[in-house]
Amino acid sequence: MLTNKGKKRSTKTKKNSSKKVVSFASVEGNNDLLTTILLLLSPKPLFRCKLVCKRWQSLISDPKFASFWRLKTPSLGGLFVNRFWRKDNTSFKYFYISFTDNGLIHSLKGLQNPYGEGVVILNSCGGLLLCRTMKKERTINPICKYYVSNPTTNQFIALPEITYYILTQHRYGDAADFLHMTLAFDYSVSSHFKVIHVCSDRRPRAENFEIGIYSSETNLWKHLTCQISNSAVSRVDFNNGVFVNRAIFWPAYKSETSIYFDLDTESLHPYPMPSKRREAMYFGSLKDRLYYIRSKKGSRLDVFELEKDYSSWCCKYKIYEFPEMNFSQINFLTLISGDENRYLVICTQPAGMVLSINLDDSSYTNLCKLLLRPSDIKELSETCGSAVHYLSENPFWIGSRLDI
Amino acid sequence: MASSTTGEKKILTLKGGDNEEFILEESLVLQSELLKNMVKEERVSSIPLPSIKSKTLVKIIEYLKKHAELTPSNKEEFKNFEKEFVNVVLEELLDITVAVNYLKINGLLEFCCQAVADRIKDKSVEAVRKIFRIESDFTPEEESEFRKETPEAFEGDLDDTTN
Repeated sequence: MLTNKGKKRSTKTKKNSSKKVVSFASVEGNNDLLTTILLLLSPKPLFRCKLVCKRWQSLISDPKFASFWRLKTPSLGGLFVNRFWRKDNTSFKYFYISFTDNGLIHSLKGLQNPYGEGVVILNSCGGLLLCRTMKKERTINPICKYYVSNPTTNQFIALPEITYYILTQHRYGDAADFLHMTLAFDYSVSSHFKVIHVCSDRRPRAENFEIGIYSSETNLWKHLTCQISNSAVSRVDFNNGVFVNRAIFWPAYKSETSIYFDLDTESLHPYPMPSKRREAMYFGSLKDRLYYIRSKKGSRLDVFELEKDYSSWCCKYKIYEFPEMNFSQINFLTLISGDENRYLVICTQPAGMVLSINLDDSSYTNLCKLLLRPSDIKELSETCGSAVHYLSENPFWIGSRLDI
Repeated sequence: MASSTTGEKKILTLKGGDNEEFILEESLVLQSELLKNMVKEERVSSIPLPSIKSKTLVKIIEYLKKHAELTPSNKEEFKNFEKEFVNVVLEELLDITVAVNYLKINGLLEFCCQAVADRIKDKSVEAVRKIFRIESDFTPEEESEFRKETPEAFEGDLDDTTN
């Protein structure tokens, strides 16, 4: 056993080495340890932790933290499905199918709406929704208001009005018809979001585009004019823009090409569409890639992926009909991810069954059954997927108070 | 220093915060990156760990022993042991987590962090503050803004104690 002398000596040695080790008192006092724990939380608890104190807030707000958290935390989020529609264009209601809760359906009385008027979801990106409201009493020339909301944290930010001259040219039109807005948000790049709008010129072969860029950093709209010479521009669907890889891609129907807007260079460029004939059943992004889904003879779905250099599309997955799922009567479909896998979520008539199909191994899960009315089904088939919005939960963004 | 060897096995003494001594085989402490480096570099036979409570040290040594006995056949048993291991009052769990982090016992650290995360995930903002003894440094205006904008963050589980 140890002699006193030996003991003393070893204590001394320890003293020398302990200089290397920073003393610790608690989990709270140790940033690395605290970060390790916070990285294990799901979106809502993580958001609560952001309100604990300023230090926790800055730890969680760090974009590096966000990208680590995304890798670690599978958050499937949910799907907003447009429920009904009235001719006055102002009343929308939504089903919310939560994938996190294994397909539990929440019937939303109304999305969080700062203005108390009819609200419609225009766009979903990175856990945020871009919404529009319209005042009912002015049906001829309704006033549109736009706001961005984060349903996970229940926050929203109102966009300032667009006041510049182009609106005067369209004074007698319905702003919703010519103002096409797309949300751009990537927390791993910046905690600020942008909204891009395009004023489409309905003349064939139009070359000039008025583009507005709103940044939540400045809370201002910036305006620019972009030129592009492309015969396809009259067929571009500016209502269904998709943000992916720092660019907004719009689909074009019955056209071999379409255009995208590069947010870094603030310029428009052409890119190909996979098919000239068929309309897309889905046009959206997943994990930094753009996807396009079309049906083949009503019994197969082809999932196309845009190459990284935007030069061409490749057919990445082919999904065949199976007894539980009839592809000739699809209400809506969308792609989702959240963990390592990619899923196709699909809802078919007449039963309204919602299934999730794992694209990599073709296994499927019954999620839920949606009670859709004939008017819903008609609407879904006409809107071609734009009435369905996938939302991944995002605990990070914190908005400022709304000035109405 | 020859006295620190009995037979083939090397013996090491760990000294907890309250001067209590724990004598154990050196091979056990090699699971800790920190102690492993100390033992290898400096050939110490007694390591004082003044910042770790003896109670916490007892728990950790218990884990080290169990983990050393882990074989493919008693995997289930070990899993149950792990579950029981973190089934302690929250304050004790935090002490263990901090100590494990300090000692750099990697497998156990991950498990402890997950246990802490599971314990705080349903707690309200207030409860989390109490658990970690944090005073809010937001201004009263900011604080009331949070409460107004996100009342549900302040609801949740108010119990800040054990479970």
